[in-house]
Amino acid sequence: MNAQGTGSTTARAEVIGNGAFLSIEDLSVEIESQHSARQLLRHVNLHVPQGKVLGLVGESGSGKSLTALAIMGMLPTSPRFLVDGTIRFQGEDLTAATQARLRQLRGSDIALIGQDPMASFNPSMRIGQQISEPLVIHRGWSRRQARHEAIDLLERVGVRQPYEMVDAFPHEFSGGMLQRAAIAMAIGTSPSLILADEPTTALDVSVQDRIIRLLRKLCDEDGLSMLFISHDINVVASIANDLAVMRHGEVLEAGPVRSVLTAPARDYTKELLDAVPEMDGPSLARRRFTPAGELEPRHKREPADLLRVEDLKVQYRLPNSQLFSKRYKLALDGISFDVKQGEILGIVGESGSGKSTTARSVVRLLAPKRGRIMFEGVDLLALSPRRMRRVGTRIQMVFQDPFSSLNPFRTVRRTLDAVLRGQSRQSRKDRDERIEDVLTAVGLGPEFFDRYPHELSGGQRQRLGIARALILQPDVVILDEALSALDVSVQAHVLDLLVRLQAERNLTYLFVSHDLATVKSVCDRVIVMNAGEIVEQGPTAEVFGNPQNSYTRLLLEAIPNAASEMKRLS
Amino acid sequence: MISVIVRRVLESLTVLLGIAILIFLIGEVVGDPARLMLPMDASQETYEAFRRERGFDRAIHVRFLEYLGGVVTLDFGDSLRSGVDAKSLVLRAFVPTLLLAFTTQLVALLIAVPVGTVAGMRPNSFANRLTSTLSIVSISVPTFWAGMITISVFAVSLRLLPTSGYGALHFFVLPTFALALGITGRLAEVVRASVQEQMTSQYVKTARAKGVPERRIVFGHVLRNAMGPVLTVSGDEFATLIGGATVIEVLFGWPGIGYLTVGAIEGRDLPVVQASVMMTATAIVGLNAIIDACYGRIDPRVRRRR
Repeated sequence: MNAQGTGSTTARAEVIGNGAFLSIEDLSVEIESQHSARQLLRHVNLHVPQGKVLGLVGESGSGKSLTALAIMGMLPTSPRFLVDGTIRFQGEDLTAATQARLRQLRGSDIALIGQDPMASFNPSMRIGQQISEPLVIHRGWSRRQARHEAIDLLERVGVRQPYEMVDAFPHEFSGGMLQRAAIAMAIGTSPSLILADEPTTALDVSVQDRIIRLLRKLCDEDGLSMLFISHDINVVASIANDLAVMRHGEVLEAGPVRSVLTAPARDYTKELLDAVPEMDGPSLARRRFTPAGELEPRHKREPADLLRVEDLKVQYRLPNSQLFSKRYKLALDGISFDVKQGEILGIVGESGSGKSTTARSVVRLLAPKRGRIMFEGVDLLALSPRRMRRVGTRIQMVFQDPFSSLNPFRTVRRTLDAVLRGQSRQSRKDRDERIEDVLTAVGLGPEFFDRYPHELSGGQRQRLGIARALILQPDVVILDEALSALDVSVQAHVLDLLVRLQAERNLTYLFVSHDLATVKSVCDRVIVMNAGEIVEQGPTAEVFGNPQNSYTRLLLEAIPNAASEMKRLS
Repeated sequence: MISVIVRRVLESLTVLLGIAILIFLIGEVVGDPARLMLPMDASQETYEAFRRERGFDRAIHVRFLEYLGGVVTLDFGDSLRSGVDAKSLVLRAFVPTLLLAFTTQLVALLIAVPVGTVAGMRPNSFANRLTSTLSIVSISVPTFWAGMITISVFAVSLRLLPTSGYGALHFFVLPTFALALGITGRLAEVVRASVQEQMTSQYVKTARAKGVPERRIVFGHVLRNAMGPVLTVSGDEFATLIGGATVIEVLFGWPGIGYLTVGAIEGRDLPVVQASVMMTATAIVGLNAIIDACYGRIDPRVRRRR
C-alpha cells in the first residue's frame, strides 16, 4: 500500500468518526453460474473500529458468514464468486491482495473462530499441535517452543489441566472446552482482528455465557477488534459495541448497539427484536386463545392426568464392534412425571440431559430398560407392537429438523396421504378432505399441496411437520426442539400457530426445548433435566421465578438477555 | 491393553473354529473319502478293511474331534494324490502367493495414493475426471484378459519377459501388472473420493483460516483422515490375494495357494483342500487383526472405543 492509499483510508475513517481499521466499503459479491448471476452481497458497508466489537446479526441466508469469508479471501473458487468493492484492513485493500498475501494474514493478523468446535478441529491431530500450528507456520517456531506456548494458551482460555490436555485429541474434549481451545488457536499469534462466526451457536446456554465472557475479556485485555456474527440478537448485544443488521445480503442498519436496539430505524430490526422470546415478556400462555377466540382463564376444573411416566430408565448400547462385550450409557435414570389433559409441559435441559430421550421413549422410538408410561390407564411399554401402532396414533411427534424428517420424494399431499393410508381405510375423497383441512389449519394454502420439501422454506416445512402430526387427530403432541432449526422471526410465527392449535383442538403438548425463554412463554408447567435426572419440576412461574435447584438457577442466569434488557430500559 | 488383546485372540479363535466346522461338514457332504482314495475297481472287502484301517467307519463326532485335534496340531493328514504331508504342501505354496500379494498391493498403493490424492485435491479439474475415467476403465478390465494380453504382447511378441513360471524378479512383472491393474483403479477411486470429501470438511477450512499452505493441509491434515476407507478397501483386496489369485496363478503357472487348491479340488484331495482353506482363513483373520490395529493408528477415536 502506498502512502496515498493509507491516507485516504484515514480520511474516510475520520468521516466515520471512529478510526475504523477494518473497513468494508461497498462490497458486493455475485455468484456466477452458467446461465445466471445471483447477487449474494449488495453494497455492504461495515466498519470495525480498533479494539471494538462489531456485532453482525441476521437470519440464515442474510450473507453474514459470506462477509467473513470475503474478508479472509476464502470464498470458494468454483462456482466463481465475483467480488466488487473494497475491504480495507489496516490500510490494505484485501480484495486486491494476492492469495499468498492473504495466506500470510490469515492466522497471523486475522483469525477465525468457527461455529462447530468439534468439526473445526482435525480429529486425528493432537490439540496442542493444532493450536500452535499458526505459530509454526507464521513465526517459524520449533515444535517444542510451540507446544509450550500451546500450554500457556490453553491455560489462558481456561482449559483445565492444560499440561495433559495439550496432548489430547479433540474427541476427548467437551464442546465448551473445545471452543475454548479454538479461541486459544485463534489468539496464539496475537492477531489484531478476530472473526467469530456463530461461535456459541452449537453450545449449551451455560457454556455460551462463559465463552462470551472469555471473548469479551480477551478483547478488553489485548485490544482486539472483533467481528461477531450471530443469528441471536441477545448474544450479540451482550458482547458488541456496534451492531449491524443484515438481510438478503444487505446491511439494513448499523450503529452503536444501544441506539439500534432502543430506536431501531428499520421495521425488520423491530421484527427481529419482537420475535426474540423474552424472559420478562408477556406469557403466551396468559394470552391464550380459546376456541371462541376470547380470552378466558384456563383450567376451570382440575384436569386429569393424561400421561404418567413412572421410574423410566433408558440406557444406550455404545457403538462397539467387539463380539464379546457390551457397554452402555445411562441416558435416563429413573424419572417420573405426569402430564395433564390440555396442558403444555416444558422439558428443558442442556444437550445430553436426556430430554429428547424422554420424548422418544414416550412414543416408543426407544426401548426403555425399566419403568412404565401410563396413557389413559394403559402401560404403553407393555403393549404389543400392533396395539402400540393403534394407540400410538394418539401421541404424535414433531421433530427438530423438518427437512431430514420429510421424505424428499413425496409432495406435501402425498406425505400426509401416506400417514392416513397407513392408519385407516378411507376413500380418496375423505382423505383429501382431511388433508386440506389440516393444511389449512397450519396455514399452508392450496398452492403448496403439490410441492416437494425442497420447494418449501424452513418454516413451511415445519408447518408440514406439524400437519403430519395433527392429521391423525392425536391427543398428545411431542415437540422435540421443534423450533430450534428455524430463524427467530419464523419461530415466532410457528410458535403462535402451535399455541393456537393447542387451544382449538384441546391438545396436550410435551414441549422439549433448550430455549428457556420460549418455554417460559408457552408452558404451564416445566421439568428441568440434568444428566438423565429431573432436578426440578413445577408450574412455570414458580420454577422460573423462584428456582430451588442450583442447576436451574445456573441455567437461568446464563441466558443472554442484553437486547431485552436494553429495550426494557429505553 | 492386555484384555483387549486377549479378547481379540478369543474372537479370532471363534471365527477359526467356525471355519473348521464348516470345512469338516463340507468334507462330509462331498462324498465318502474311502471311495475317493481307493481305485475304482476295489472290492467290497478291501473297501471295508480300508475304512476300518483309516477309521472312516467311526461315528461322526469321534471323527470330528479327531479332525479338530488335527487342525489344532496343524496335522491335516497326507495328500491323497502325492502322499506328501498336506501341511508342508500348503506352506510351500503359501510363499509365492504371499510374495505376489505383497508386490501387487505395494504397486497398487504406490500408484493409487499419489494419483488419487492429486485428483481429490482438485474436485473440478481435468486431473480429477481423468482419474475417475481411468479408474473405471482399469476396474472394468477382467484380470484373466489383462493376463492374456500382457502375455501375448510382452512375452510372445516382444519376448521381453517369461510367459510363465516363478523365480527371479522378472517373473513377477506380468502377473503383478495383471493383478494390480484393477486393484489400482479401485484404490485410486477410493483415495480420490476420500480426499475430496475430507477437503470439504470444516477442519480444512479452519486450517486455511490459519494460513496453512495447501500442500501442508493435504499432507499434514487431510491424508491421514482420508486413509480409513483406503485401508478398508486395500485390506479386502489383500485378503482376496492371500486366498490365492487363482486365475492368474493358473495362467502364469505360479505355484501358489490358488494353483494348489484348484488342483486339489479337481483331484478330490480333501486333506490338501482342508489344509489350504484353513491356512488361508488363519492368514485372513490375522490380517484383519492387523488392519484393525492400523485403524487405531490412523484415527484416535477408534483407540478409546476398544
